[in-house]
Amino acid sequence: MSTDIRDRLDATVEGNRRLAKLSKDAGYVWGIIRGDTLATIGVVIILGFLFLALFGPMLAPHDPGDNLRGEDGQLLRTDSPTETFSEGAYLGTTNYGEDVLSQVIVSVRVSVFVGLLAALIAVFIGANVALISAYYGGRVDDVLMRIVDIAYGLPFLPFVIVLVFIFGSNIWNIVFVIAAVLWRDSARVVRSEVLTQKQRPYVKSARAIGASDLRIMYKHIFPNVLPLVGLYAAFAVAYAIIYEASLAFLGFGDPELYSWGQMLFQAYHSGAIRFAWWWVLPPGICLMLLVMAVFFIGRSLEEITNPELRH
Amino acid sequence: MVELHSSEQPSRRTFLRATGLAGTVGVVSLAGCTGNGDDDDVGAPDEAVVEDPDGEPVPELTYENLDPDAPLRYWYGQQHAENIRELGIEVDYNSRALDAHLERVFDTREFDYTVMRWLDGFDPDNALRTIASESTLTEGGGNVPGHVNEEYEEMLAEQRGLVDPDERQEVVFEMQEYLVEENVIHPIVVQDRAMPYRSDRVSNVSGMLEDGLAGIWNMVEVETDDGRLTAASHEDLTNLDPVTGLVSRANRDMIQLVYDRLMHPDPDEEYTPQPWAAESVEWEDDTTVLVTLRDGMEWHDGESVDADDVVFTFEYHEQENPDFGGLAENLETVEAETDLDVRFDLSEPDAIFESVILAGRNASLIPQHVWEGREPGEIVDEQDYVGSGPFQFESFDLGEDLRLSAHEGHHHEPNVDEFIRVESADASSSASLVQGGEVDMINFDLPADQLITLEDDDDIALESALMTSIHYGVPNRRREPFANPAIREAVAYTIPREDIVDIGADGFAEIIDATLSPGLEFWYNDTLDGRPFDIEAAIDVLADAGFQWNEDGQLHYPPEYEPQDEWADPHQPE
Amino acid sequence: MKKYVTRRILQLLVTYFAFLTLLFVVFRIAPGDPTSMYLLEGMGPEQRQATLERLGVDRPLHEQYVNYLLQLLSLDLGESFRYGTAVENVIWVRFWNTVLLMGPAFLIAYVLGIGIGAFMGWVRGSAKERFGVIMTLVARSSPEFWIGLLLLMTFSFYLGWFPSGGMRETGYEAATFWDRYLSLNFLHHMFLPLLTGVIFYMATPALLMRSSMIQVLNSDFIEIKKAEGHPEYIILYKYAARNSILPITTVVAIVVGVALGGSLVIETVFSWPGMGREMVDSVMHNDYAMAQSVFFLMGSVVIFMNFVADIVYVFLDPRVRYE
Repeated sequence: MSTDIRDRLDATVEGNRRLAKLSKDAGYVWGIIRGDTLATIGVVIILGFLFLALFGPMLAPHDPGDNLRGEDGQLLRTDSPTETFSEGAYLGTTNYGEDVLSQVIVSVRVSVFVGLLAALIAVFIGANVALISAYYGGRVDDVLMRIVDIAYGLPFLPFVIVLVFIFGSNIWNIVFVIAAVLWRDSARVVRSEVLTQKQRPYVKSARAIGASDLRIMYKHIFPNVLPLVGLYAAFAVAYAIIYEASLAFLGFGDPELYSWGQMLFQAYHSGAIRFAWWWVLPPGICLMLLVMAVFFIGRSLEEITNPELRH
Repeated sequence: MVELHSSEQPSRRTFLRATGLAGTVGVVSLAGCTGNGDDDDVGAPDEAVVEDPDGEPVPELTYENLDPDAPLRYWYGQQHAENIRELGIEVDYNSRALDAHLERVFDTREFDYTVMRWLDGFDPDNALRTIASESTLTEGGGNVPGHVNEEYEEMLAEQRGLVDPDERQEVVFEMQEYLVEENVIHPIVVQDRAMPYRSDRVSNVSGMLEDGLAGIWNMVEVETDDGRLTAASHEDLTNLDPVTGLVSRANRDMIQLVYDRLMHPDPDEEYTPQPWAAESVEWEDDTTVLVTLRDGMEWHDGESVDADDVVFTFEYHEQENPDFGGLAENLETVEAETDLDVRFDLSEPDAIFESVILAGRNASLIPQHVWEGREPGEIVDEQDYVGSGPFQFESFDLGEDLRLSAHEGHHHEPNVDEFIRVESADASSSASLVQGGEVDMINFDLPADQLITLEDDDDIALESALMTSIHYGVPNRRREPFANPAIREAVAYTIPREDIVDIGADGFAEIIDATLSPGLEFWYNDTLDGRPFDIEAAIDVLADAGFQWNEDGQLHYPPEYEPQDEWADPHQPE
Repeated sequence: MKKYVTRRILQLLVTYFAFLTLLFVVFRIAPGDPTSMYLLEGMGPEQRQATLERLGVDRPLHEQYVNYLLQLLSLDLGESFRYGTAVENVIWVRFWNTVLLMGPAFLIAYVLGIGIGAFMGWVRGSAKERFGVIMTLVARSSPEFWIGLLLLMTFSFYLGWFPSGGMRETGYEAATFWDRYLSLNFLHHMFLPLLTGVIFYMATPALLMRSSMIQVLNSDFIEIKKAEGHPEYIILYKYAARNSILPITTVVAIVVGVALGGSLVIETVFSWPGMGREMVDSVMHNDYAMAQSVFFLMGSVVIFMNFVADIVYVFLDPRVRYE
């Protein structure tokens, strides 16, 4: 009887402690990010891209699909900025006389959209599989983990392309297809963390006071693995962006949307890759910057999940 | 005039492309913020815009196109879809890989509009039959528009039986006129598949229609400094089977080098078939053809080619070649009369027998002593690649290279001793290979931009090759909206053909107004008036037919028009 | 322990079976059938039916499925529709082309990555570490195709030092295995694609090694060794680095999987006739036997390595519960 009371007490104390911790988390994360120059840079870059994602089409100097012509009526075909600056195409033009700058700006949207949404779905699936798998253990765990094995066995990019081939290459399908393959990472890693958490006394206490499985999983364990989930969400954002760009570069992007991968695809296939640096560099650099910013922030999150890394 | 779109969509492409994402990313509306001022403001006549039109709204149409592997179509399909949107019709635009595309366009017919580059051949019969006849209406058939018309069937049968070219030409002209008038298909452009070669070390080049540098005549006539010809191509060469391997151009181009045909179309004779492995081809009457083989021909393994091989070839193709049977429906019997003479008996007069069967790709001569008693899939060992063609097989590394050597003593012995075909991953790397001097030529399509870059190189020349296939748009008349003739007519005016030639193809294309390639000079009907790119004209067509627009610019059928039920056509599956 | 291993082996078999089934189903629901590409050649309905019958794809799905499994059990990969020949005639050349590119890329990336990671951990807190971390993150942030394009533009198109693609110079006759894969000609062509892979795949082990190093270096164990007066380099290599490697070995399988899948991009940029492109092409042409074989081959490598990693991990780290 007395142990039972003590367990209950433990559980309450533990619960309160975690609540307090959670309430401080936001400020805590912000503190770490602010203390880390790289992460601050990351946040600034991401805010910049978010701004472009929201207002890009209004800021683009041209319609990205317009075929620009010079004063003599000649199409400005794959012309360098020095030739087109005076015509208002500040970064030069593509093989169809489209404004590179406008395309780069308008493309931000696709990367940000795919990155965020695909990552959200992937981590949502991954975290839930991890919780269920680790919490129930035994046969459930075996089955779910073998499914994860299979997911790892599918070569990522080729399989994503196969799915796009089956379902069609519009942006929603691309998001779902990337998420459908990306969830495996978070599932695997979060599961091992849940396994550790499961051994902690607070879980035992919660069980002792009769908390339901669902309650224990989502109310008690989940908050403790949240930092790790956050970290993997950041990774997922980065990978989703990379994979969307790779898809588009291989020619499987949404044909009706401008994206950086698509721009590079066009540059590569029109042969401009051999000389048109003004067309190749901007989308590639933007892509790199955006993903890099996500990783910079991810690095900070990593220090939260693993305080030993701070030195 | 009421402005239909400009007020809502100052920058239509950006906007349309943005809307799908706007909600999720959190952008409420971008309307009115991106004005560039350079959009064409298109309007419907005032009287045709009503608050609440009585007619049914015109349904969204599904536009099916290929993925960027078909770069020109990929580019102009989108432009065209945008233009259709200007008429007030919603467009669901898709681009897919070939098999997925074919499934929708050829099998399920679940599409409303598509653009194609197809109908190659040196004789017009195939094109005219494929696109619009009842025989190709079934699932998987080439009658993509879903067109049926008795008079057309009669003309089709008539021209095939007319052995006199001038009489036949008249009917063929009439058929083209009909197809254009009725908007069965919308002719767009014909492409010039110009191909680059190293003019610093390759000479005596002779391209031909459709095949360009890959044509058989160029391959036997071309000369190089060192007697070795190298070519890069970015289409997969999958196999050299002359019976079932004919599905890709890459395969066909190489198969024709190793395996002879009885005849080949000759560029010097207006691409009419001329004897090749045959010494002569004589029509004894309208249904009997006597072919005499050249004396002394040998297979690459040294055995001699005789009439029995020819008979065997035709029997084998009849049995195993998936495409042969349909083409040779009029062929009754093939018999060897002597060692060198073969008689072909036809069931009825056939104007295309020479061009499609004797000179066609589906009857490559194969050696009886190798093929007898074996199925096509069993001929896979390298020593079995025995033909009688101008080149003989040396080695083949899948995905890397194919090596052939000249067949000495051949009636068209090549001027080079050796030919190597290198496979590159894509057009861009092919272009790099020829520019870097690693290969002598490219024997496959390059996108126009690559061509322009290469054109500037002093050591590289381009050999022009107008295609026999044409680019054309197909409205699916099995269902609405294209069951309606006015919409078919209006959409014909929305294809930006000048831009396709100037911007999309960099000038490597010509506008066409009939349904054949102008490369086939004798058959192309150049008296037809085309429908120029003119959105105003398209809108006028609709307005004149009684169509109305609501205030959002959406197109509605005329009040009295009853839209057809889906799949109203009796010939359709389901 | 024995029980665990037995159970894992059984599970491995079930996993393979499920994997095969998944591939079978996915490729069959892909649009079109093996005759689709003949349609443009004017194949009529009867001939089409005849061809489908000849290829055996007109039979009920369950029948095809059983046939497929039986065939596989007898180590027969089946017939490729597209190439008109047995799958194994096509697949091995491509497989080696990919493995001989990605294998070395992966090995070099791992060795370099671990070295750089160990160094970054060792000099933690310094400007050198900071620089190292930034460079590693930059490498990790660049999609393979972007790294490839940059290398291509710089070293091939601008400087002209390396060929822009392919595996060998045109006309180079590779008679023996040695000629094929070890000649200077081959290595010259291999350099840029290899470098692309190395740069991209180096980042993960480097960052992991760095974290792991920092944890080990912070431990009492190292303090004790330092107190014992061992020289620095001994501590770095013998004690710190060695003990940091364990967590990195466990992700080897995963990184190999990612690398094999990612070979598609490198192969595309550098015209490398490998497996990646074949995976995609075979599915798009509904060449079922080929598609199943390439995906199975690549996938089973990864699944098996995951299995091995699990087992090895249990041996190396007995703290892991294997019940």
